This record gives sequence, C-alpha cells and structure tokens, in this order.
Amino acid sequence: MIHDADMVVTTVDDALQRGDDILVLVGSEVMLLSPVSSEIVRVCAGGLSVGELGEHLVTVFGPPPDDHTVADQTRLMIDRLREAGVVHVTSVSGV
Amino acid sequence: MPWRSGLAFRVVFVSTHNTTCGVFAERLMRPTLAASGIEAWAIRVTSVGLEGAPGEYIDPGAEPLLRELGGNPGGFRSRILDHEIIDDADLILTMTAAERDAVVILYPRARRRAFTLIEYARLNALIYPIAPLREHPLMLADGRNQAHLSPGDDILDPLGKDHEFYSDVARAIHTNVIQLSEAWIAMAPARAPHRDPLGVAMLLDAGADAEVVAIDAFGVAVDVHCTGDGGRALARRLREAWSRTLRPDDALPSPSPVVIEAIVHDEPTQVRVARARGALGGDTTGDVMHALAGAVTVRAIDQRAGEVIMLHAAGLAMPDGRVVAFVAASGTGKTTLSRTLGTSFGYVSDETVVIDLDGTVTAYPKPLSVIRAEHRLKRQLSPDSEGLLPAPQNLRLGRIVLLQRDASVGAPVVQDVPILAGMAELAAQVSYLPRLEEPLRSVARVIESTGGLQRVTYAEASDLARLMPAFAGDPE
Repeated sequence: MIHDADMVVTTVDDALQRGDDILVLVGSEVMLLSPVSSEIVRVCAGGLSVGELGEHLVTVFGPPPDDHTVADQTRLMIDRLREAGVVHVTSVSGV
Repeated sequence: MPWRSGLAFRVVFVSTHNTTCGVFAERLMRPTLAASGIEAWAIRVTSVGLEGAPGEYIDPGAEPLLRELGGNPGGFRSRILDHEIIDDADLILTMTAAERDAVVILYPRARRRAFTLIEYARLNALIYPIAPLREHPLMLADGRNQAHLSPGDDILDPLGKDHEFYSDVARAIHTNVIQLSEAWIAMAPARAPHRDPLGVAMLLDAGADAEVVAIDAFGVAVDVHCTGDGGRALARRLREAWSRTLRPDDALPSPSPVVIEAIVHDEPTQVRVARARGALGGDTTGDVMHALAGAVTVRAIDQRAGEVIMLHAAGLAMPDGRVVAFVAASGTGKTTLSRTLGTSFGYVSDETVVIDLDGTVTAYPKPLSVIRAEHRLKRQLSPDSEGLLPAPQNLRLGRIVLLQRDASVGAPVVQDVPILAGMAELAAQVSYLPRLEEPLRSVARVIESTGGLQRVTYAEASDLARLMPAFAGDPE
C-alpha cells in the first residue's frame, strides 16, 4: 500500500530527454516513457512524496479523467513505474 | 570503463508446480551443458513453480524418467517464483503459454524475457542471434510472432496422468533442452579473458598437431586452434572464409590472443572429450565453421564491452570512408544486403558494426553467414570469393538506418525517425549498451552527429544502392 507521505525516487541507470519526452535505461532494458511518466521521472529525480507528486501532476496535466481520484491515479502510475524498475518507493511511515 | 568478464547467463524454468516439468528441464539441461564444457557458473539453470509450497520433492512419477534420460534428481527441492528470482533471471522459460502469460501478469517487467520453452527454442533456431547470450532474449522478443505458437505447442503438466504421458513430456523437454544447449555452446560466457600468453596451453590439451588460425576481430586477437583428423582442412577453410580478418604471421598481439579450440573428427568420442574441455567440435567442417562464426564474434564483443558501440548491423562504406550501418534483427536481411551492395560499396561487416564514441568505425569483414534453406546451419562465405569490395581506410559513421523489409512496397520508402523512438527500437541491437559511459547519451551523440536516424522500407536489397549517397549524408 502506497501512502501520501511515502517518497518516490527515480532509479533509472541513464535517461535521455528530448523535448518533453524521456527515454530511460533500466538494467538492460530501454523504455520510451509516456508524457506523464516522463514528468514523474523528472520531478522525482531528487525524491518527492506521493502526495506532492499527485498535486504536481494535476498542475501540469489537469485533474484525472472520469471518476478517478488524484490519489488513485497517482498510485496507479507509481505502481506501473515501480514494477518497471523506473522508480523506487520508500515508506516513510514504516508500514 | 573497466572490462568485466564472466557474467553468468541465468535461466529459470517456470512451471505451475515445481515438481515435474521444471525439474525435468533444469536437471536435463545441466548435464547437457556440462558435457559441452560449460561450467555451472557460466549458464546457471534453476527452476521454480507458480503455485504450491516450497521445499517439495520431485514427483515420484518423474524421477525414474529423469534418471533414464541422464538427469540427476538428487537434492531437489521445489521453490516458488518471487520478485528476486525474476529480477535475477536473464531468461524465463515456461512450459505453456498460459504459464508465460501468468508470469507477465504477475511481473510485467519480465515481459520481454519470458517465453515458453518451445517458443524460445523455435525462435533461436530461426533467428540464431550472434551476440552474448544475455542479449538473446530481448533480440528474440522482437521476433516473437515468427514462432507461430499453437495450443499444441504447450508442454502440459503430467501430474495425475499415466506413464506414457509422463514419458512424452520428459522427451519433449529433453529434445528442446538439447537443441538450446547446442546453440548456446559457442556463445556461452567465458569466466575471464581466455588468453594464452605462451600459446602452448591449448596445444598441450589438443595435441601438438593443432594448426592456429590467427584472426583480428575488430581489434581483438583471436586464435583458433584447429585439431582432430579434420583440423588441417578446417584451418584451410577458415583461412579462406576469414581471409580479410587474418593477422599477419609476424604480428604479436597485445594483449595476448583469446584462444578458441575447434575440433573436427570422425570419431565421436574424440569430439565428446574435446567438447568436455570447452572446445567447439563436430564431425564436419561446416558444423564447426558455423559455431566459430558465433564464437569469434561473441568473444570479441565480450572483450570490447564498454569501449565502443557494437551494433548488430550490416555496414557498407562509400569510397571516402563514410559507413552506412543498416540495423535489423538477425535473420531479416543484413547478409543479403551486404552480399548485394558489397559489390558496389566497401564491405564493412554483415553482422557487427563497431563505432567509437567519436564516430570512427572499425571494419569487421567476417565471412558472410548465408542461410541454406535445406539446412539448419549457415554457410560461411568469404567476402573475397563473393567479389565484395574491400572497405576503404579511415572509416567513420555516415548514418544508422533501420531496415524494414516489405515485399509489397515498390520503390524504397525513407523516413526520418525521431531520436527517442528510434533508440528505443535500436537498443536491443546494441551489444553491452549498459556498459558504455552514459549509455543513452553517448549513443545519441553519435547518432545526432550524423543527422539522425532513418528508416528504410524496401522490397529488394538492390533498390538501396542508389540511396547510399543520401544515407551517408550527401545532399539529395
């Protein structure tokens, strides 16, 4: 379970940015990220809390579509990036 | 970046219950590899289950069959798949497509490393990538649709079935495991640079009649020690096929050469003994020439990891030295292109284009590896006998072009490719990319210095000849 206070940190081995898009190297895999994922990689380079990241994404891209809450959508994105090895999430609460 | 050697290729067999199929695969592959002189550390083979409890014994119905096929069930205890195992694996092989899909759903990161055993064996035979084994899964994932899997290609769990079913399953696994092991032998990782400073160690093992063929593989000295009753004929054929890469007799390489022993012998026992000590062996020169093409190239790639960009590409040079590197997956037209355009442009390589970070290119005019439709092996043809032009001096990169063959197009279609999308596509065709300093940025700098990536969609290789000057950077 990801909490608002947990810290998200980008963990890629190399990144290449052209315009708003980012290409990342994680282990031996190279991935071209979507605009939202690229933004997450950029702003989490030095670490950012899940709550702050959600607010930042709303500022840049607007509120999530349909019935999704900001928190749910942010956690979904973080989960996908974490699974791909692009970010690491550190639990601040220790839970 | 300092050179590191000896990275193991880690294979994990995944089945639903880790008590039958996975055990067969693990315990049959290990002795097959060992019999070919591949040490257990070099290709690490394990098995795990998707379900069940850890610590279970091998299924009683499987044990006698495993022994019968030469596997050792001793000490086996089941394990369950987890994140750590997935992250540690270079290749994940399941028995059924449903198991493969389950792995990918549970661990999306494994998507390009997960295959069924039959799917991977089939792709490997079709595509036969010449690259370090750790890079094969990503290369083969791009050609996955060529496997044409059907539900009948699943190897089903025999739990609860009769002895005949067990036996069929065991033999299906054994056949595919042997096929893969055979293909991996030539390209298995070496623990350390296999060098022979005095040039005698292998001769002592192989017999004093070994004949040495001295090759320069893009700056790496490789000595092939040809032995057996067909050793002299092999050496002669090698010198013909590798004519443009031979080192002069009086050249003393520094560092000392990488040594590969190759044996051709009528007597299977001689071949078996030589293979057990790590030699490449067979009963015909064609078999061994085929294996050597991979072995020499991969040993050289291993040696130059982190120093240069090594593209799986065909390279053709303009008279002034500008090289166009045509990148394509193995088995999709690079050699045909080299053979066709190489009579008009300098032949750089049909397999590996080596680029320094300043854009300088090193030629690797190896034999052309030509697929014979009726044969599982590729013929190794000398660029001299094929009438290919030698590459000029002072080679430098003119352009990297992504090749896409489509028999339905008329005239070739050329498109500029955005750098990030192009590099995402290119990455699987770059050996040891992560070992480069600033890997993505280094490759991007070289690409952008040539004006960016292009893609060409074409029907016939000969149609590309007139495009060469434009690819190399001449104004159209």
